[in-house]
Amino acid sequence: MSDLTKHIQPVEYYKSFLKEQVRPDTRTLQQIRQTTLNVGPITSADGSALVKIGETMVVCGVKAELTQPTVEEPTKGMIVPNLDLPPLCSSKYRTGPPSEQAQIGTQFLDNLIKISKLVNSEDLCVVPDQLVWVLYCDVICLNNDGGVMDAAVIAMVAALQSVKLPSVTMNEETETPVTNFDEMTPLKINCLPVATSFTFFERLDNEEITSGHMTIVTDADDNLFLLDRPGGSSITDGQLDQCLQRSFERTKEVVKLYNAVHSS
Amino acid sequence: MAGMELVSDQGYRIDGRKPSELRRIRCNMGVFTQADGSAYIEQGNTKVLAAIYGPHEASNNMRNRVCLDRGFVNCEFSQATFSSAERKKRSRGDRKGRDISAHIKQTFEAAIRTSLYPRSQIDIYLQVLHSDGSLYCACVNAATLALIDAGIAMKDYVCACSASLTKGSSLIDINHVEELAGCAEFSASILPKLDQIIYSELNGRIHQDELGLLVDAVSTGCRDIFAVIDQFVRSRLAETASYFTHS
Amino acid sequence: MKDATNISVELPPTPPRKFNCEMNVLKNTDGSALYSEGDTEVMVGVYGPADLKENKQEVHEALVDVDFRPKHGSPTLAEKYLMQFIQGVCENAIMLTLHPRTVFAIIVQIMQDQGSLLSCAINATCMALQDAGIAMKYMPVAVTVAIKSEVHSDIEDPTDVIIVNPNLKEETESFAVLTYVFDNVKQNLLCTHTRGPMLPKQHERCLETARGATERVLTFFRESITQKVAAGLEI
Repeated sequence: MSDLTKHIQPVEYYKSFLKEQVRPDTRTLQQIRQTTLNVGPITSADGSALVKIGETMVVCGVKAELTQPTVEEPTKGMIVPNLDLPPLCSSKYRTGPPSEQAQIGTQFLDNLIKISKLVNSEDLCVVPDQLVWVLYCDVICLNNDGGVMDAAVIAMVAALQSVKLPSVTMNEETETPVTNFDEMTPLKINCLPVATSFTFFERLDNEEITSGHMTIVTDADDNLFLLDRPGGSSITDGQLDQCLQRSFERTKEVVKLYNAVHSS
Repeated sequence: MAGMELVSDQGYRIDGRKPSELRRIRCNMGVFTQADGSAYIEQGNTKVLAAIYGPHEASNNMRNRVCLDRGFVNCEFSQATFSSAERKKRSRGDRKGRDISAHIKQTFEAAIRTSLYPRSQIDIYLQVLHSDGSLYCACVNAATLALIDAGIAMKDYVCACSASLTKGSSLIDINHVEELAGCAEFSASILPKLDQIIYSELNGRIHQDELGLLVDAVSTGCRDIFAVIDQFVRSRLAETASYFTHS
Repeated sequence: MKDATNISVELPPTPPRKFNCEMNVLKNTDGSALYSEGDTEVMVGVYGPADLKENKQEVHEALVDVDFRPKHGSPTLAEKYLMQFIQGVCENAIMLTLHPRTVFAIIVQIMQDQGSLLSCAINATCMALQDAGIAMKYMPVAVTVAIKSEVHSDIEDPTDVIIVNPNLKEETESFAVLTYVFDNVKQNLLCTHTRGPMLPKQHERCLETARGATERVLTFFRESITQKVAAGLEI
């Protein structure tokens, strides 16, 4: 198949590969691209991670700041994720305010943090009613070659895992916080979630080629956190089971990666 | 920071460099697959990524900038919120970011052979991952590499370097701490082979007689940077060429 | 909740939530529905197939533009996240290739949110599409279920209780809330949105329960449409 076909008839191009149960980049249908994780590349951040899945590259930096807690939840710190898809990462994106995809991605990360209870928000409390930590997790996609959310989740979790917070005491007289950078405590992470995305292809005799995607977030303890499929053609329970199984396998591989990088 | 000694009695700077010494430069080209050209540069702790898209048809919101006889450059500078000691509120569109974008756009509109790309748009996207002074210069150097990677015709390499003055002597490639010290900061982009300055900027007050000193320091610095970048590009080219000869 | 291996499905403790649907409530739209499940109420207006600016037109099919409006103010990230589910369901259910170069503008306004919001919004949207007479491949049916673990005095292990169409209170008490959308032809899964840690086994049970609950929603759909048609015939 020539390169020209790829651009002129992308559907035909892809179909011809799928018929043989392979993909244009020589992968089989269930094969996931090589994943690399690099923790702590950015020293100005309190925790950072660079993730590559194939050619997709994502960097996450965590910045910790002290702030006043909300009145409703005086003992709870906050984690504020943000996903940035700058025009740098793909010609699809335009300059300007965050695209819809970036907003949806940000909300996805926020959902994930809340659902998986990634960090105990009480752990981020310094002085109840007065001072809590707020962790800004900024995820920037540098190269978008698909599977950004999978990479973003790994980057965010690994970056949070590498966060060390200084001990903070309140000076009673001046009522100002005093940070002690000699006593750094690592942030406690409750679980190691991994996201796996799937795309479905309708049967080859059909006109449409791809028909909706699905993201599954699981951890190594067989917990299923998120299973989002925002529309698409209907899938059978068998297909769903297959995806679930594959994502549990994938999670085990990535958790090994998390642990290997974290312990080194 | 006032009154801090930028150069010790022994003649070394805060980070241990000599006044005319550059920070270590590490660079790479073709780091992304999506962009038409891309590059990564590290000057000490300043780390910048550059991506080039184009030349392509002008996007909708840029229609009014299309020229019939030449291409135009669109530049966006973005600084990661975690790139500096204090978290930045926004990564794009603040005053400093807009300034740098505009300056880089001017620099490269002067350096790219735009007449070869009529009616087209060339996008330069810059992403700062870690900032430690001389941001403009690192961005220009990264963009030069990315443009070379994209195969866009330029008059010459564009190399940028910054310099500062303390006690009558010049420091080149200044880092964040030296920037904060509040001395005058001079940055310039030059075309090293043509021996032309295409951009220069001076922040702060210096005596008229000292300007020559700064220009000399910066142009020496730029030439040193040029030597590093040029060597890298040539070795990369040799590497690529070897694939063709072997097969 | 991880120890809960013995799962039992029980009838909801409160009587099932009442469905209500009024179609053609907005006179200026091509189709509209005011739909409620229990105290959750959603109003949907559909315009389409309508004209579209030339540079946004798709040559081979129609576009779907969903606007998901909260009770007040402009949509937040949470609404935008849910919006993609409504949009995804519509894009696949509507026969878009019949109307190339046009747009289906769907405005979904939350009137009151008392739990099961997403399934209510999707069902409301489908009723509005029906009201507008837009050709669809199938009728999507959305069902929300929630699982909470309940400790009984006589059994030591907590049992999982699956609640169909939970209200807001039940949703907050549950550890997982799952929304499923099925098609009415093959009863296959079209779209899911799940929140909360659960075991694959629990998920499987929820899916089954939700599939069982679609019949009641479908029956209600049929009744509503029959009523609407009958009312039209009297005039």
